[in-house]
Amino acid sequence: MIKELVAFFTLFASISIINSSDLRAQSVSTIKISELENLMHPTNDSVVLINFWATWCKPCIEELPDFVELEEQFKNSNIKFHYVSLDFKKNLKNSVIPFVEKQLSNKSVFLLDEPDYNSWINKIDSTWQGSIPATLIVNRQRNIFFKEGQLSKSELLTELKQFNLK
Amino acid sequence: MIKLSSIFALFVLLSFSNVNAQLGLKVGDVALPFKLKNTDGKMISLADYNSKKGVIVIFTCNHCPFAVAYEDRIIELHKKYASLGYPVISINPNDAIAYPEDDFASMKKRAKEKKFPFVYLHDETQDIAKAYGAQRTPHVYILQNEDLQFKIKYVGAIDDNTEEPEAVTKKYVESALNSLIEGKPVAESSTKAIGCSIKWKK
Repeated sequence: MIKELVAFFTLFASISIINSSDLRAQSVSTIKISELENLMHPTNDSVVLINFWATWCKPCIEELPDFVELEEQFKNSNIKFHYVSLDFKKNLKNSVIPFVEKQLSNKSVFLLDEPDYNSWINKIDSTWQGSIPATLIVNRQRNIFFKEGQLSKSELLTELKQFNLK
Repeated sequence: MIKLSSIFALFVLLSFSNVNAQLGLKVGDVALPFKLKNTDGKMISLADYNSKKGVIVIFTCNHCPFAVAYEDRIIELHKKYASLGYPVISINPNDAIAYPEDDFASMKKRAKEKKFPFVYLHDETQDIAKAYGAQRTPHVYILQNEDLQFKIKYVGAIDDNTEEPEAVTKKYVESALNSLIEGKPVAESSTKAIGCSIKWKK
């Protein structure tokens, strides 16, 4: 009886673990500006692309498939794409995660939890007025590309090529 | 020769409008006059406010969740500061083709639903938003009436927390207005915020 109970409990426990790891795989981490700044300062040879978007932002949603496509195209090179959502934190579960599951699954997606925009916008780029989409590409040598506004696939490709991806 | 000079004039004009689009008006600049249609059908111009101490010009719209998040706070701003000489003038500059919910009929509907106590003007040609350098909604410009010349005293965000009004710690627009009312310089005259990008006509 005890053996059966233990076996049942083990089974139950393992099912919950599987379930929770599934949830983790689909979740979007919230980050602070200090963590984002770390991402913006690659220490090795890699190039980093950070796209600022939100589920409610029409031009963002329009350009994301091109980013995903180019990320796929450059998956074996030294560039890392990050998608930083500026959605409200309260919309993480009901809008951001369902959108990410459909459009950005298995991508590096964060929600930036920093409501005092004025305190950090200039840290990303001093020319940024605060509208989205906005895209930053940067390498260790601090070669920087920054664009406020929608990017076409060909514009993005042209900019990526400037970074001599390996 | 005539051709050359007209090409040159065109070039100057183009570079000028480019500069305007990128930089817009800064703190200290004289505000551009405007005449735009209000949701009640009347034309409203900046000169209609010549008897006021100043105005709070807010580029905003219907569709943007960040603009919507600030609607009640903009109403409160007007209620508090109109009687002190600084009414709100809200202006929607969005391309109604890209965002049908930002068309004039929808503006009228929203103004009625929310009982906007201030004017809600339609910048249909987008010329005013471009001239001011507005980039996003909401985007605030505080204008001070100095001998019938309206001067820009503040450009930027309303406060430091869009999502949670109860968590606001810095009320940028109110601080700037309080300084102006007291005749003091505005300590923080320019701030930035995330907002919906204004959709320009193609």
